[in-house]
Amino acid sequence: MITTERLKSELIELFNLEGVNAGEIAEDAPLFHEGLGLDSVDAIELTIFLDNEYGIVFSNIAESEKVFASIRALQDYINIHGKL
Amino acid sequence: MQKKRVFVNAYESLSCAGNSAELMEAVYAKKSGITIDTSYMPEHKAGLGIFATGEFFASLVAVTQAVLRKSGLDDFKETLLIVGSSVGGIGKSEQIFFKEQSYKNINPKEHAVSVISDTLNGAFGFKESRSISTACTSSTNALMLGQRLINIGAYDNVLVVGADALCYTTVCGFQALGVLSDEKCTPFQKGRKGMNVAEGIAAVLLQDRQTEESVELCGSAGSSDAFHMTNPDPEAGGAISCMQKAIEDAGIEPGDIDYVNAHGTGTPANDTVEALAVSTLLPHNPCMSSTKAITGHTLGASGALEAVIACEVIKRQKIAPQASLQEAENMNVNLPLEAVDQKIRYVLSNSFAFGGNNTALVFGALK
Amino acid sequence: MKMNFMIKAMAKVTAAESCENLDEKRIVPMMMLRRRLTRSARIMVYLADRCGFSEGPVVYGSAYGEMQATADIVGAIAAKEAISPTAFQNSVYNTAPSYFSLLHKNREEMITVSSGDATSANVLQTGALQALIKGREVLLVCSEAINIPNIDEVNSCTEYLESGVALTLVPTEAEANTEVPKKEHKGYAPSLWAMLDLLDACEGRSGCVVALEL
Repeated sequence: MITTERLKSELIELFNLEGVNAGEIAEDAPLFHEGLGLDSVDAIELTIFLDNEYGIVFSNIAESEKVFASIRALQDYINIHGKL
Repeated sequence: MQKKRVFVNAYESLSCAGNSAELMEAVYAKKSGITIDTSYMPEHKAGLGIFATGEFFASLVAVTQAVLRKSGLDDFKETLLIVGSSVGGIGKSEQIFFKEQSYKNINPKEHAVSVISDTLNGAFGFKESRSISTACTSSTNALMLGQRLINIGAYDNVLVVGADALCYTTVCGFQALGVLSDEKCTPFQKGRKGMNVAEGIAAVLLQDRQTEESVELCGSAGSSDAFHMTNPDPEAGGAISCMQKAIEDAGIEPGDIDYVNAHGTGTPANDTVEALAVSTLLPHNPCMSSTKAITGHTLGASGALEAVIACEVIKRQKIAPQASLQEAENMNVNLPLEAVDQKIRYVLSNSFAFGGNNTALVFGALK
Repeated sequence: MKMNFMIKAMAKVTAAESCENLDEKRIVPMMMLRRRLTRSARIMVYLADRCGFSEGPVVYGSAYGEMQATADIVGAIAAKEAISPTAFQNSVYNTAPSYFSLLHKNREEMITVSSGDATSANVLQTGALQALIKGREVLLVCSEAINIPNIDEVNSCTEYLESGVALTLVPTEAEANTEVPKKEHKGYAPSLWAMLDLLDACEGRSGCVVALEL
């Protein structure tokens, strides 16, 4: 099982979020556009990361959009579908 | 100061559709030169524009030689060369690195953008040369600067050469961004899938003297979106700004534009924003088409290649149709499905690049 | 054709390996933008800040562009790994001025020159042209950032792996009052030399007026 802390620290490294610590990222806040403010290029980086680290591949954009909604949604998805 | 007028007096090009004459035949026949390729990415098909024959640098010299012949000049000794290229010599560096996993045998001078001007200086001996590298507006910006230098009388002759070879970096890079189509691109189409990367070479001679065959380069302008590195401003502010300023620079009104040669890459983002920009600025609804449906997107060469097309459209007084279009996404723009004979006084040619860099050119028929 | 230009501001930065103290957090307070800046982009926004310039046209130059991004992409392809879209968008030669444009919401013309060893000479010419055409102050920046792993496989003459030089100029009717001798700037990439010549000639003086070729 991946913890919230571990996922947050992986994302901080992936997106090069300088000076941000895990405590500052709310579990239920949006990741994209509002909230953390990630953009479409970050979304692609996240897709590549999930494939490389957890063997997760989405069949369409709508599916990934639901999963990318928040840290909690992402964490739940990885814990269900990811190769851990 | 009094601006000297600028005339396009000779040009030649090479794309996947062939030389300029072959290209225009393909444009009017709506025959795409794109092929579906799996050599760059075996797991992904890619719609690419690939030259039928010829090594890139040899073709570069040949195209420039053709312009010299057409120009009536004895040589290029009194001509400034301005190159527009985004790739330069990356292709050769890639091949060396893939083979050797080391940079040792890469010649930095053959890697850089300046390899294009070095090759041409070696073959022709220009008075002076400069190279512009602003991604997809490279040779459009080169034309803009060339126009300005002739306007102020700094040079009488400027040869603008746009040149970009296919390479793994751009093919795989656009795939990584999710904008490369696995089919022939369909600019302005509802539900379009993306762009086709292509190689291209175009050489355009600008001079301060008018001939019977001249097309005038009347105006140009650039702008920056200041919005995002790769996504265009959805409100089209930057695109509208550069088009408007280019039209003002030409000393004409928006209503004088008879044809728009669009940037029209076939990506969801670009074409939506460009259609909005054109319908907002040019409500008289002039014909518009993207000839990238024929040539693909030749990146840094696209400005010069599409300048050739703009000039040919003016000389032939025949609108280029929008190839590969079934159903337009934006019904407020006029995308002719067939070639149209009509009076064409002014053509607007757009280029939009990474970094939100935008440049527009206005070409005019001789009065 | 030569015209006269007044040099309003100048700055340079250089390092054997990596320019420190580029004051990034102050100059680029928005972390979501700052995180993506390449080395060239950080050098450029720093030099622009030192010149007190944020609005107006820009001419940028680099002979070798975004080497790290290019190396990352080609390395990934060679290793049959996924390419980072961030690396690709950061690999174009006009990456640095584009981030400058984003930072300051600057919607003016941004030209990037890449002419090998003649880069900064061409930046001066192009900057002079743009200043004349626009009738206003233009920022000129030239930089090289080649501190990437294994660069010593191809570099044997550039000692300062990161360096940048910037100036702003504006057209003037005043007489030229400064000669600019050509010098050899040992350790610097030759692509920067022409602008370094100008900085040396104007160092410690204000109101320098130089004649520049367009």
